[in-house]
Amino acid sequence: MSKVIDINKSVYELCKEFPEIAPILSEMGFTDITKPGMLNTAGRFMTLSKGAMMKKIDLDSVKQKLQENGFEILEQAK
Amino acid sequence: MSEYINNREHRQQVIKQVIAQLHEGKTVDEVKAQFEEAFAGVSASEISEAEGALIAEGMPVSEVQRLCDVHASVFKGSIEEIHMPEDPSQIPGHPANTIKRENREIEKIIDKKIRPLLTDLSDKNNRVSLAEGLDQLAKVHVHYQRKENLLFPYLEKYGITAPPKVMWGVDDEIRDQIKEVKGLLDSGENTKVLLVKLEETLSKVTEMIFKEENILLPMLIEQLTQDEWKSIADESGEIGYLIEKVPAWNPVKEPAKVVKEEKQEPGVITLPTGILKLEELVSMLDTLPLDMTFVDKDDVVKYFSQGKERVFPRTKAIIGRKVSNCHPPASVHIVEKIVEDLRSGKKDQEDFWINMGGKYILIRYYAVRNEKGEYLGVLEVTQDIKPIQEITGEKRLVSE
Repeated sequence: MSKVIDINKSVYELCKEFPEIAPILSEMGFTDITKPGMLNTAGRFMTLSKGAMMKKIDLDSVKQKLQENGFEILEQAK
Repeated sequence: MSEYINNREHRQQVIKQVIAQLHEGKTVDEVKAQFEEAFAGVSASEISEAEGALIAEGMPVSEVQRLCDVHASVFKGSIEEIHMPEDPSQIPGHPANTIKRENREIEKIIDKKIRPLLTDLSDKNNRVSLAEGLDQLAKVHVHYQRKENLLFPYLEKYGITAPPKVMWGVDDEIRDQIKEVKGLLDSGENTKVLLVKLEETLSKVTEMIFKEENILLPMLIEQLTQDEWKSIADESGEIGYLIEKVPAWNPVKEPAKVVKEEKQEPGVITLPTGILKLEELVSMLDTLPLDMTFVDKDDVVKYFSQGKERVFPRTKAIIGRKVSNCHPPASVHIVEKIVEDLRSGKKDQEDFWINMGGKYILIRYYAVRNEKGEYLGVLEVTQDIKPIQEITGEKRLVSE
């Protein structure tokens, strides 16, 4: 079964679905998600695409990194 | 214009037809296409409006509700999204709206009063203007202060404690960095260093705006009741605003809650050395030429006096809040240490004195204990002692 990551889903939902991505994201610069109490509060309002914009992390390299780790990226034109 | 109206009428017709068909037993999937065609690109609010019009015409609400399934599946959005009342951050005077308006102002200061000057800082006039721009930017302080003293307490009340702590830490970093940049500019320091520092500061400020609008406000809007927003709005003036005009916000009262607060008769308080009416006691405490804040034995803020010129702003939102949540993260450990020493009996008192905007502030912390010596809490007393220090000689005559 393929693992699909929707970049417009909240970071909270994504990390709940695929706990293994938390350390990957943290390493890419989404450092706040490992702080206790942040993921299940602020993380519910932050999507991967918004978060990357805010943290000035290149979204393409995030996607690439996730793909390297066996995820499929779902992007919906919004 | 007429085309616009006709479109609206047409859409209402479609809604009626769709409802009629659903009534006849057609499935959502069957009518979806019709609906989709008529409503492509139409805002959710217009759909609610059209539904409202049908209800006003006499169609039973239960019939109109059949539509929910249709528009939910057409718009992939939730029903709540469509039936949600208007966005609070669009209501003038609503604290969420004020936050956003201030953010637009901050962006304006950065784009108009700071960035254009950076191309040539060898020009003396530019440096002077930049100093002014930075002073304006430094006013984010009140914007942050309202978050920290009025908004954060509500998040904590709803069990959301980590994000406000993190955000407060960054607020403090920004405040410090603005000061640092200003210092570099004043000292005529090497422009390269200045530019790097300034850029770092501006990007933090911008990131904060993003966080406020994409995380903080949605989180608050999800949790807070209208009454809570109203008390935030009412208390905001105490701290102040970055923008000049903030309209009053007088929301229509929400239906009264069933739980009534116990009506308290303004009573009489019997003290060991006298008997006071509540009104007398309150006014007496507020007349004292100093500010008091009392924190109980469980480190919860219980009371503050409301003197005319409070040195540190206090708002009612802090009542019931843990004292460690009322201080910037960077100074929390100091506060905790003081409280611990007073609680344990290691100390009975601790004083600080600081210069602050032309005032000389004496801040004193006292352990409050009962007759048996049991710890009841901490009393903070602050006072501007500058006028007192300036006293010399004697005054024996009544002032004119």
